[in-house]
Amino acid sequence: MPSYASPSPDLEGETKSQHPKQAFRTSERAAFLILRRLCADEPAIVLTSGALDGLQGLEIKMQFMLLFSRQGKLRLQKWYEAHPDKVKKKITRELISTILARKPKMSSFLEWKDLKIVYKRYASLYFCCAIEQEDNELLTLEIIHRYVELLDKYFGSVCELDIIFNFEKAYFMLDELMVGGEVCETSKKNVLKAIAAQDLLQEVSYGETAYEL
Amino acid sequence: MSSIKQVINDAVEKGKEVYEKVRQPNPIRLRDLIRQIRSAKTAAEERAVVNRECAYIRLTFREEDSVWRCRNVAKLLYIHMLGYPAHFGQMECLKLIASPRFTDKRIGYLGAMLLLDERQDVHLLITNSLKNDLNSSTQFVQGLALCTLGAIASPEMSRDLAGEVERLLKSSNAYIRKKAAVCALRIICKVPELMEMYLPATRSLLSEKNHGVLITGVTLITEMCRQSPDMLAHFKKIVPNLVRILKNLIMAGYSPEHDVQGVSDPFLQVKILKLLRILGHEDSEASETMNDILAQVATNTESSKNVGNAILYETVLSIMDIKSESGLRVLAINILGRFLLNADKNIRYVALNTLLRVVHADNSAVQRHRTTILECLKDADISIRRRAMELCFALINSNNIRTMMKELLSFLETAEPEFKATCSSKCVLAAEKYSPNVRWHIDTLLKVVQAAGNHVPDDVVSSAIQLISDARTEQAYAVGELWRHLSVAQLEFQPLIQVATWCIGEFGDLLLNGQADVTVVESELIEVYQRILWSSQCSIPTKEYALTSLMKLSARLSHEVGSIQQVVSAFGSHLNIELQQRGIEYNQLFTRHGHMRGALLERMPPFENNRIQENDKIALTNGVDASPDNQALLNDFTAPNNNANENYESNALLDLLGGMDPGESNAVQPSTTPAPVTAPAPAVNSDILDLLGGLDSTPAAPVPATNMNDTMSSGQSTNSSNSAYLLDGLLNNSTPIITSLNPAATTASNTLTTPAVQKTSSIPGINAYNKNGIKLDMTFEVQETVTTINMQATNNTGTNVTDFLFQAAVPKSLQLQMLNPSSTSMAPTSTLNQIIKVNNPNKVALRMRIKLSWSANGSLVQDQGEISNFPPALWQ
Repeated sequence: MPSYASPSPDLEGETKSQHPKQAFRTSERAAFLILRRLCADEPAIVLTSGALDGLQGLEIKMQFMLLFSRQGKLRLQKWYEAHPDKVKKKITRELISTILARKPKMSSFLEWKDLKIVYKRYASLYFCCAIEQEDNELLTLEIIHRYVELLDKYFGSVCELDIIFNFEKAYFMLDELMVGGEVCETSKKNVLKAIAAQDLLQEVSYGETAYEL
Repeated sequence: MSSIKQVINDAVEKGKEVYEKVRQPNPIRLRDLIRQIRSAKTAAEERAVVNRECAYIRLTFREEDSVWRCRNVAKLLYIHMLGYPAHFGQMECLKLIASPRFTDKRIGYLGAMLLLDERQDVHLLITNSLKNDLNSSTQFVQGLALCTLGAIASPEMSRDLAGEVERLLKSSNAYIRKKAAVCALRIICKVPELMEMYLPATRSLLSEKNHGVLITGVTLITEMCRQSPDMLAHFKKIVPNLVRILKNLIMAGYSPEHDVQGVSDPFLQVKILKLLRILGHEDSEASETMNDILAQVATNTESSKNVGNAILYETVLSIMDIKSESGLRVLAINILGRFLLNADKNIRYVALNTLLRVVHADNSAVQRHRTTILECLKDADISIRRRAMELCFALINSNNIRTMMKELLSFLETAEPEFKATCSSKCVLAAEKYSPNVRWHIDTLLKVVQAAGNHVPDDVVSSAIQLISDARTEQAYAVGELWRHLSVAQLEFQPLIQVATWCIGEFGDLLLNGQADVTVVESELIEVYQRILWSSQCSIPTKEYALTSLMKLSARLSHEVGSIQQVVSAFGSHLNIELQQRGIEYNQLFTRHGHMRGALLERMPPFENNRIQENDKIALTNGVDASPDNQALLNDFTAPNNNANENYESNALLDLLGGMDPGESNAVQPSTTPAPVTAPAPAVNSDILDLLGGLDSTPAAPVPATNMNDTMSSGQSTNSSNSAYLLDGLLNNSTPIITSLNPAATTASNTLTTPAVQKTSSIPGINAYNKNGIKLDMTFEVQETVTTINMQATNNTGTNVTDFLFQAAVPKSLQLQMLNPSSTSMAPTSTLNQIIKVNNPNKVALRMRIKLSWSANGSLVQDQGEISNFPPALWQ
């Protein structure tokens, strides 16, 4: 596990013992970050002395979730890691074609770049999540299933058309179940309660100019 | 004044609305747009609808229509999902977020999450809105802001809003606390130094009843422990709490709220198991505390459904990762064994994956499930087959090799092309390691070569050849088998033909004198060779094998030598230059140098070691008359893959170290006898050795041994520069060293050393930096594209300098390698050295950006600059 806290152990150790003052450490941190930005600007520049090892501390659980139809039409996309639009489109295209080409006998998992892709088909819709190597793919299937159950409760036997015409509601539901790629509510009841309360709030907030989207 | 403005604004607003109504009464509803788009019959039609709507939406955005902004942004989001550009909606999302209406905020934040990500500049603007909403009195507004922050926070946003999130983490409202915990997680991922700030609030999250807060709290702690060893140590003490929570979960009766198919909150259970795994890793005390509960989870969890298996899977991972009892580990592996029999392919897949991870730790426990694993080789799912194959190779040992190899060979025959290369390589390795006897080994290799067809990697060909050349007693058998295959072979499979022709060329006499258990007539032999040599299906390397082999046969056959000569001389006009050259050269052996033919074409001695084998080109031409380009290969030190050289490098290293002893100087010799192929290589290496042998007699500081290790083992391509580098410490004393050269040193050494010495002396050193009492001087040596910069830093500050750190960056087309500095601290007026190597393949002008930092008198000094006064001789 790369950890930021000790990018260069000896450097850090020495600083601590010789200069216990917080101020010094912060200034060094700042220098460090400037350096880091420097190398972000010019990717080919090599920085040295091992000082920059282990900066990749990002551990976002679920990287993204995609919903798409059997015809390959994207129905929902939720990204928990920043990518330029072009990259997102490319990833989406690649995954959709890969998954649609898989045979029903195959498992619901595939390795793609350094991610694990977990997908499951519900009627005409594919639900597809990208997770980290260390993550539990069986549990990811459960998360997908939980999401489907929630949609089902909310729309009343949900179908693809519900999600097409109420895509924003599907997003709202996902945001109550997961934040930043992490499950944040494990009770169906609580999720549905929060959604209902917000829907109500929305109606109130229409006020006199009541209109729908 | 302001009221007048108000009136005017109102009037303008009204006018706008009127205009709006005249032009188009209301923007169409989202669902109507979706319907329109869906009813489009062609892509062009859809594009037209979208373009028209986008144009309209742009117009309303320009007109600052706030009434319908929400609807328009929602439509834009739909259009965005279809793949059309929608970036022009970003600012509108921000405006929606700033609106007081909840609907606007909800759509605005949704749009922000979809249209912006952390790369966008608009982030400064959204940070303010987020700050406001995080302080809102409505929990759902706070919730929206937290959710957005959790999804798109950038490092800058994280810093700006960390305080707000910390406050919300202590909120009395569980709905807010759980979302704040995920935000905190995102923030510490982006800016790890903010971690400590969240520590107090995080600790209290574990005493929660609410599962949402618990699960996010556990996740947050997991991330903290992953990121920092300090945090890991700190959280060791929560192991009993976690155990208790987990126990309550599995012991408590049915709770409808968190039940999933009879399992109580699997999401939370898995998160806790994961955290236990991190806390118990390499910690026997913590592991001891969790042993019981892991056993309980492993035995009590219902395994008929996916959800139970998800927990079991996580439990197995935790058991295998901590210092658990051996009984528990067996239990874990048995769970995986049960998984392998599961009807659900997903579960079989994770079982194989996990077994692969643990097979090296508990091989014997995994062995028990061998037959099940072998069954998985026939699975319908390709990724299951791949895992099963890898696992099978991990399970092979000398007891089961026969059965395992049988299964793997039949797998290899039917396997997808993408498997064949790895599978055949691994079969060969396994056979090499565990084969019960030579004949079985040969049989196996031949079967592998046959089964894998053209997907056999080159190293398999050469190890088959080596094996046969080594096994004197089995050569007749092997050549007979090979002949049997070759005489009926489909010519499209090159590797088999290559092995067969090589062996028949070497041992053709065994084939003809009947030792090989088959009867072959010479003319048959020639016929097969003709078929190979004139076939369009055979590759050039195969024909090279065949031609050389045929030539060898000319010394083994008695009647058909004439027809061999015919074939060989026909190649004198072949289109391929290599074949043509061989044709001409071999023809010479029939005519002008006929008397040498018999001696030249004798059997090759058995190969001595594996490494020479790796390059099958050398293997092939080894015993044959070395063709000019073969010689060139050996003389050229930059040739890749010259394996033999590596051997000598390691010897050289040993000798180098030995050479540091005064007593042993000049007595350094390569310790093994060079193979004929590599004759020039040891000569050069011994030069270096001898040079260094002279080293101990001079006061020049020896380069630290680790550095030598580096340079000696670095790739062949830098070999020549390495030698120069080794020399550089000796330059001051170059005369005595050169005189101390071993007389055996050949001309090769002179060509290597002399130019290096001259060249370095002709490049002037530079003063790269002289400020704040620190002076940097650089001297250079150039060897082809590699410039070695010897940087010397001098401390003129008058005080002790510590933590001296020199960093450098060069333009993209250059590669930079920095070796460790001789020290990181300098007493007044003392110096330190650091070697920097720059590879400049394109010979561009060298520039270097440098950054220096050091501490003097307890304060940190930093500076940076650019060096552009490098002497042009470095790259010209």
